[in-house]
Amino acid sequence: MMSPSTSVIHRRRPRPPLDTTIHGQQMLSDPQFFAEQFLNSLQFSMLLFLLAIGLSVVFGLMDYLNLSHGTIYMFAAYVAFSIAQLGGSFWVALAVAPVVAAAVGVSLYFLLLKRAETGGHLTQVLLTVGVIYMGTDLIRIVYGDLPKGVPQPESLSSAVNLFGILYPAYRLFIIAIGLLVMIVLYFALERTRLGALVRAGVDDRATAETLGIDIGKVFALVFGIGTYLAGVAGVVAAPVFGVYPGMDVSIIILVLIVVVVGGLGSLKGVIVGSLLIGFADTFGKILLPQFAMMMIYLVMALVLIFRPSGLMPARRFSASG
Amino acid sequence: MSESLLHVDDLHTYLGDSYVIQGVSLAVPSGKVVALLGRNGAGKTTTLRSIMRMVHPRRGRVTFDGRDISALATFEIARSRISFVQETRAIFPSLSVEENIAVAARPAENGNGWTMQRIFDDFPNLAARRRNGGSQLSGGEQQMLAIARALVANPRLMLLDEPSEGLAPLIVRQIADIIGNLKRAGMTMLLVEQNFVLATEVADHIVVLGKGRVRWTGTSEELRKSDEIRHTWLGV
Ligand SMILES: Nc1ncnc2c1ncn2[C@@H]1O[C@H](COP(=O)(O)OP(=O)(O)O)[C@@H](O)[C@H]1O
Ligand SMILES: [Mg+2]
Repeated sequence: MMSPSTSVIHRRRPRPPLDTTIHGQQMLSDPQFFAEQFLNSLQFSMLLFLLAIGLSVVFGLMDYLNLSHGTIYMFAAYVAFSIAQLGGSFWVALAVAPVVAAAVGVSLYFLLLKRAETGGHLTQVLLTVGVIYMGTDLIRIVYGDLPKGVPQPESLSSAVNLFGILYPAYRLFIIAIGLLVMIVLYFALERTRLGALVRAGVDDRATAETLGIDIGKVFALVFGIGTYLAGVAGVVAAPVFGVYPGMDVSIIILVLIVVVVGGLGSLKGVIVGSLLIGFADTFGKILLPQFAMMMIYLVMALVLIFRPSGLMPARRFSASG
Repeated sequence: MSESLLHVDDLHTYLGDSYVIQGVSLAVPSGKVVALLGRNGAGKTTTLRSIMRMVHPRRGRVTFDGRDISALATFEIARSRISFVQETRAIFPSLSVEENIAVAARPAENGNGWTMQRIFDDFPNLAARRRNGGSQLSGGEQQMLAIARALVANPRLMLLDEPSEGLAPLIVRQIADIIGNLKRAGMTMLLVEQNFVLATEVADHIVVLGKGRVRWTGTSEELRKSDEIRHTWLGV
């Protein structure tokens, strides 16, 4: 049932190389082109980051592998599309859709996904893949199979001259949002009480509970924030990549790789992983268009050979004994 | 025994398929120290973990201050003012010393209990390392921090699992002094120890566990005299 959407996966790069007959290596020697691709990589990394942080922290805190995280991203993108259809501006969509996505995500968790909390990863994967299928079908029923466009905000539709390179303002905006979220999350995690509770829970959930910390409550909050950010990713991605059934699947695989490469449950890991995979994906598609995905798997394999628990995993302390 | 703060009544716990706690009952009177002794693998840690419901006993009842806590979640048991110092110390490596204490803090009801400031006054070596990461501490410092973290929750009962394990004699002495001071201040404690001298010195009452069952109970004095119990169940 995913097959109709696979054709649109490749729409993820909506700006094809200027002249596809030139070899990638030659294109890279053009500084203008290189800078542009560098920024594209950065922009894609930020989207991966916004999606991966929720997945990673939820995994770190609850040991829950929630593949339907991408469904929330898709859902938010479609909410943004509907808001645009109804004449609402992009900014209305950005304000509303992530909140709706978080509400749906949290409800989904507590009504359904929670049941697999103690069931192990396989049960969680089976259940959340089921949610992916259902989500895609629901989207198909309501919106149809065809990809749809979402307009960029008027105010960001121009190109910005960045040290002599013309680059779309909207894409810079995505980069800015990603950086802003990184900084806010860093301070929230490192400098606030809630952040310390989250880190304690990721380090050693059982011990956190022996200290009177209600990890279930901390988790609900973190899950809400994670799905909110997935919603933000969905809204900001919509004008660039369009919305289509299956847009969640095409990105969630990369997001999973980000989490695995970066190391589970750590903000630094997600940042490093997002950058690595964002760049590998973008430049892989230029240098070896036929093998772009292989390039990503190669990066993952290399990281896991040398750092089996990822580049910067959360420090864990064994609670048993 | 009815004035006891903690009552454990006929506890049975399985870990996987193995029947580890086979009907343990014990009581800890208010203001007293009860030592739970026994060889490695006797089930001491599992008893404490069962009280905290970190493992779910198949049968049995735990009452604390007259209230049945055997169906509560671990965090609720902790909030009813039971602190558990684990055998592994379980310091959070991603948290600084200060944060390790802060996440556990729970103000005393009467307003003049343990605070972060009082902890740092009483544990100067922790104060010196307050900004250090939890993973940068020595074994002794980790144990001090684990005890400090338990105290700052202002518990009415402390469960201590082998606080002297693996520490240098000088540090063991410090730990023994801390426990002695707490006892004098009226703290109720259930103390698991392999260090026979430390345990018998501080305990009002002793419970000897062997292969998941209570094999003997009595006072320190009686245990020192009973060679047979010590040889059979403690190996000392
Ligand atoms: N996860 C487990 N599964 C099965 N058996 C276990 C597990 N953990 C500990 N045990 C067994 O339970 C018994 C009691 O362990 P424990 O309570 O840690 O003893 P103690 O603290 O007295 O040394 C031991 O025989 C140990 O081998
Ligand atoms: Mg033990």
